[in-house]
Amino acid sequence: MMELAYAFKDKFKFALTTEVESIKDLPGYKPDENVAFWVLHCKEGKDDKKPCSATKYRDSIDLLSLARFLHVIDVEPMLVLPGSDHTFYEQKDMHVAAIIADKDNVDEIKLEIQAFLSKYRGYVGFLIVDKTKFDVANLGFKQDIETSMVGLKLRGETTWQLMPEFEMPEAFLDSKLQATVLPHREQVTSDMTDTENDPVQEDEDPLQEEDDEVAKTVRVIHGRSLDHTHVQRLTEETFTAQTQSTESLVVMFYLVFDVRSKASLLSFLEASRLLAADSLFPLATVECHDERDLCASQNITSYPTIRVFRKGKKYFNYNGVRGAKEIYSFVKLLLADAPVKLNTFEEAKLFLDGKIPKGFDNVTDVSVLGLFKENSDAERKAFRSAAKKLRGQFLLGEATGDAAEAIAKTIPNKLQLPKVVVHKRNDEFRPIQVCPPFTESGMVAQCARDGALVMFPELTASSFPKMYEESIPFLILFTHGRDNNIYRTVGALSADVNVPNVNYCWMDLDAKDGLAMKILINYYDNQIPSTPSLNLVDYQKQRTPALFTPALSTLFKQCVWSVTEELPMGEWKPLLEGYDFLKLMDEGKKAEDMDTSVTNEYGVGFDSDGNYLEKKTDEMSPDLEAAEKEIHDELLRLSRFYPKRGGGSHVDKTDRVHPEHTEL
Amino acid sequence: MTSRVLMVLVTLVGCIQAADKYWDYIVVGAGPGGLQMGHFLQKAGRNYVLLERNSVAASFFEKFPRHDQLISINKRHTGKKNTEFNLRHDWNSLLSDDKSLLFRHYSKLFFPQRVQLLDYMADYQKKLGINVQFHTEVSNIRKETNATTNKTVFLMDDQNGNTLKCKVLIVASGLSKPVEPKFQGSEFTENYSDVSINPDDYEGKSVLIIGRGNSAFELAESIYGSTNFVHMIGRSRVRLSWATHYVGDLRAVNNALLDTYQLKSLDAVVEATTDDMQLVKTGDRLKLELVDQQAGVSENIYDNFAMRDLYDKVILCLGFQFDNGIFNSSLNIKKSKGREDKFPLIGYDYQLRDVEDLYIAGGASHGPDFRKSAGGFIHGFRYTARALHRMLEWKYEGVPWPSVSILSTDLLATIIKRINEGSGFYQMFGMLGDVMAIRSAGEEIEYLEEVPLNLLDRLSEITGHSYDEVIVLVLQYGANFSGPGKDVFRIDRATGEPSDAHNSNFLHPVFYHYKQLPTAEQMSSKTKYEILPRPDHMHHIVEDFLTLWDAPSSHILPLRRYLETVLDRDLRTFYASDCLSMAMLHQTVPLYCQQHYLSGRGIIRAEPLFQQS
Repeated sequence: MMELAYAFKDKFKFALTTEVESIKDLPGYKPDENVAFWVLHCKEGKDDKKPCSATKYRDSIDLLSLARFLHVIDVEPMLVLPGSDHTFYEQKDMHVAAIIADKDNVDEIKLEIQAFLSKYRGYVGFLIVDKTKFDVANLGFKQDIETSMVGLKLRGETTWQLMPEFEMPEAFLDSKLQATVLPHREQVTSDMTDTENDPVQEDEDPLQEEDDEVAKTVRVIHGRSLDHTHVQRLTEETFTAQTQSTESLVVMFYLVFDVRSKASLLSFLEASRLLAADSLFPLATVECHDERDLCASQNITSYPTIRVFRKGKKYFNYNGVRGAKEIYSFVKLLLADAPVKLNTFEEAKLFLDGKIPKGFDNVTDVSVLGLFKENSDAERKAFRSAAKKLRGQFLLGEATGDAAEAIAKTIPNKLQLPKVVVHKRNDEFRPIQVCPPFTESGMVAQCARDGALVMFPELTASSFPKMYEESIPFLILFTHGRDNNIYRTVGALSADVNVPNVNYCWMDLDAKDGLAMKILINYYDNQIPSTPSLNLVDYQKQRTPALFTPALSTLFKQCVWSVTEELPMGEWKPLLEGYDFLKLMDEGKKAEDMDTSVTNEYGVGFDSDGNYLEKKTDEMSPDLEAAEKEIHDELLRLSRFYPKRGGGSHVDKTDRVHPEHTEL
Repeated sequence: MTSRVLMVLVTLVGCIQAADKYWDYIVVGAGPGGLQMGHFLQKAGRNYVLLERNSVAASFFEKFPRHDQLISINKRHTGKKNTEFNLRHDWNSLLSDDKSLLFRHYSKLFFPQRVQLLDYMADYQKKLGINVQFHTEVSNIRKETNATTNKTVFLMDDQNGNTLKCKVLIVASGLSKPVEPKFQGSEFTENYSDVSINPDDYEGKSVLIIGRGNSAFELAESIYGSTNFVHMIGRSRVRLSWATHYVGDLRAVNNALLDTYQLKSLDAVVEATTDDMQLVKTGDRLKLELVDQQAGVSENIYDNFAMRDLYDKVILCLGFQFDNGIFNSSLNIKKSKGREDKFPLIGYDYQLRDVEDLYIAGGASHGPDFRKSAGGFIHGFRYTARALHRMLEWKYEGVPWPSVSILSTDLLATIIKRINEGSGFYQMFGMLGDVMAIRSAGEEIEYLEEVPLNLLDRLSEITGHSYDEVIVLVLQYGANFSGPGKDVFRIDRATGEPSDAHNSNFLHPVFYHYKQLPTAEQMSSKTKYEILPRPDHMHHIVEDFLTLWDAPSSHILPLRRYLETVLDRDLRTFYASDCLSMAMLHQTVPLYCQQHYLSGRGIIRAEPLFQQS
């Protein structure tokens, strides 16, 4: 709270109280709550006699959620259409309530909304739509929507929930928000490092509560059949024939019991549907519990393993992201000609622009084009061989002769052939990389891979690992979108060969997942810095580079920046100890006091461990002898050799009472 | 002159033969145990031979069991395709990679006929090209040390006077000698081995069978419809296999006589030992009397003595024992003591006590697990033979025990897969177990399958891998589940509660974690019910009705927590976005993110689409 107070000190006054008396008249007060948070809109209250209107905070009490709330609490809570931007609240990531009015009742409705508005500030933005002047279709309503209807569009959703009439909009909003705010709260509080806020049912064993997010989400498929329509399910019997008869087959070997397998399988199946839409069916699965021998013969020891087969032979393993889009793109690139033959200047041009082959513009942003003279055979051979290696990663094309010469002229610095050109449509700062004429395919492949790296990429879950692999520090720009000067400045710098060797990247503070904001706040010791912000972070603690080159110094003057030097180590310890069975067993033993006095279970001539007692010898101790006699007598007594006597261990040979039957 | 030349010639030929008849490995006996060893030696490309005195493989089954029916189950269907899993319920096949050599192709009978096993064994030998020298009866096995090289070699003679030599000797001659105790009047008894199996020969006869094993009951069942009655005596109480989990105890398939006993239909079962009895000829019939060992006098002092009726036939059905007549007395082959006295005295490495390089495989290797596991039966010793072979490979060939190196984050899935299919530790429960060695500060695991548990203190010596910290996976029944006075069908015989898993009674996976391998002393001071010494951490997965340990909350989650405790690591899986968030806020990330996400294999969440019904 102190951090929040500091960050928003110019905007709000902060007060803290432990006096219930002082707050119990505030709206939404609940006596059983430990913590509650209100915003009082006193600046707006014109009537001195009335208390300030108040908004109760409804999300979880954590810095990120509170900060998000305070950012939007002072936005205009009610807008009238026409006259305002109808997407205003959606942009602010708020819930939107739209009330349909006509020119006669606009003012009336405004007043009514005003009455309960404050309760929802920071959560719901109200749009009062005069349908006589504003086309409701812009909002996604049908033209015949009636006046006084209330629509609610929840944060992140695309459809409107409708209430028929403007009678009890407050109750409607309350009930609808309840349904969203509550799950939302749970989601926000489940911090990955901390389960103490997790509500645990009292009679449930916390050890049996799933705390693995992936396991939790795949639990729904346990014991159910997934839609495998577009993937072949291979067996030991069909495997060889299927892989041999298919040019390229991408096979996921997975284990039905395994969480990672299940989660990856969902992506794989989703990818199969995307590919099917392109009439491609190159995906197959092998389940390694059923097909144990097949997986063993393929030496599968990690689940899942995604392996590419070409004409029946193992080609390589796919070690990329297990996401539907990623797998889809990989397979599309895998199946494309490598390289694509480009016969004319126009074709080559379209290839560089991602228009040839068709349908690849949403698959990759990178085109690798080999430009050769008619006689540059060695280089072309190296390129073709590299193309095979790069299959699945890039789209590769090849042009020779006039077409190649013509294309070369369009590229800055007018290339001398042969050359390999890497064109990155997603790299506004260095879209073209040129590789020298290598005659060794490994060098070509490496150059293409390096050349394809985006100079100033957005830092995302997918782009991070590759940068991390470089083992160099990150210079991260936190910014609201990329339409600003600082973005362009850093981007331009990143392409400058004279700047320090760090990973230049940026994160979008406006991104829906809120990750950039969360990270940023954390980097500033839980305070909210002004933005944009530039941060140097060294995740692997290699070395901090000399940052103060002239270029960067200028840059740092333009924004808030910091060096995040010491990140916490991260104690990734078990959240909970497993069952302590040793202790449980010790306790059990004590309680039971294991009865070892039971009759010898092994029979005549055996000790209680079943060891055969040797016949009496001279060395046999009197104790042993007695013990043996005792066992012997006991067995005779218990055995049905003699009728069993009732009572007493002494065998009275004159007693002829016949006993009851006993078990064997 | 001529005769002298001839003599020289004979000697020469003898020399040549002697020089030729050397193998690195000799396996005595081409029964199931010998063939199983033979297959592993063949597959490993070793210089070996199997010596078989008869003309066929597994010749024991030419005569036994006398009534033709095997009692090893031949479960042809399990509803599963997993070949390893299916071996859990196939008790007759030997191990090989050849799928045509599965017993289900040889018989449709759940309890197959012995001739079918003979066919199977013959095919097994031929198809796998196992080198067997038939008609070779060895004797006088002895050991010789070369004075100069100090190397030892085994020598033995065949029936033609040839001397055969080898470096390593594996005796897989089974239990071939009937047990025939001597007591007063034992000359009036007949033996299971050659008693008539024609029920007509028992018409109207009163029969006493001495013995309580499956062969005794097998005989009783075949004749009890013809006799006046069958009485059976044995020195131990009747132990039912389904109560003791020991397949050598009385199997339900043979126990019909218990019915007629309990229904008071004249047949009966009592406890006694031959040490306490004598048979007295009374006219044509036989009378059983109790004797006092010391006084040597009759003890039949009660006039209602249970066995006061006379018998027409007394038949010994006391099973078979190891025949150590093939050894020269210089080897001083000892027999086990106590209950295991049918077996040669061997260590847990299957090597004879006091005779280096001499091993036992097959049925006779049952001593160490007698009445504990299945090592006396095909479905058990096929695995102990494999374990023995792996030990031999390391000891004599320098080939370490096969192992697979995996990431710690792959361990949970690997274990779940193993416990749901592995057959070796399922059949040889409590005797063989998987060993997971913890390496690289808990980031990597080396996985070894089906290691002899009782050699855990000698792990590096027998496997060629040196480990300190290990997790051992064992399948075991609940201790003290059955016994006198215990009802194995009691209503609370099974539990389903994960936190109560240590009270599981049925076969279930148990994990032992040792920061340091147990010492020899710890191994030898185990208590009666302990499979292994007290570990640093222990885990039980609760027994399962289907023996399918795949339940996310009840089986997998508690296991993950156990592995996390052992490795002191968070082993959860995370979606790529969560890994990213943690990576950006810490110097380190959870192991999954480190080993998978940061290598580019992050998982993006996708929604399931279910099959339309």
